[in-house]
Amino acid sequence: MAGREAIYVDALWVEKAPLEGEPAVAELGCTSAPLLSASFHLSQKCKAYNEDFLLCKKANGDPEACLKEGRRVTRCAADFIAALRKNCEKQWDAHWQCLDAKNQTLHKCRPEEKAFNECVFDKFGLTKTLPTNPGETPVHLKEKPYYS
Amino acid sequence: MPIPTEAFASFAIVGIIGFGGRYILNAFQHFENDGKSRRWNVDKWDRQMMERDARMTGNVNRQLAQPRAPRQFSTNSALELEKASFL
Repeated sequence: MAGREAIYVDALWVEKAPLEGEPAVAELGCTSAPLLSASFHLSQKCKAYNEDFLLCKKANGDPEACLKEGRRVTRCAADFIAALRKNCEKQWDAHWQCLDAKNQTLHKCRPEEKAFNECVFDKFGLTKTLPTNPGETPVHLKEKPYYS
Repeated sequence: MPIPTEAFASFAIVGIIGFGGRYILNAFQHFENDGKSRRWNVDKWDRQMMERDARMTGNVNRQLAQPRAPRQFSTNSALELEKASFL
């Protein structure tokens, strides 16, 4: 297998045979903007599964070895998205539609993000945490951000 | 004081071509993109996410927020193949 993507594309290969072994899981039906919007909470909610998957990937070079862990990640994410749809649908839709309209730049959708974060905290107890220097306010909590 | 029409006419032509062309291009890009502005400043990550979006919804900037993907999404990813060597 080449270590890069194809440049002079000659043909496309689509695998038709279903995967054997592990039971299949429906893929997560979120595109880029909804995923970006929910990603900070999703990473908190499914932290154990995500880390398990990455550790497995690090330990095994074989892509077939981590199918079970990967499907756990998918299932956890799908559960969280379904719960979001049930509990915070309005705020979530407002935020990702704003992101979609503004070229997916987070700093242009802070009001919507604030409402969404509050809803998720109320319903799930999850907070968006960013890695910052000690004593520094994370960018999404700044009252009057000058840069971004 | 009379306006020097002949001198300003060239500026008017340049302006109409420039702004009008930009307006038409913008209108077409919005039409192409379901009324949203076109993505800009797109990096490699954005490109691969847009490709994934297109496989799920049929357009690079059409969005979907559901727990389950449509059925075709599980089989429509393709590997790009190259010929073994170029001489």
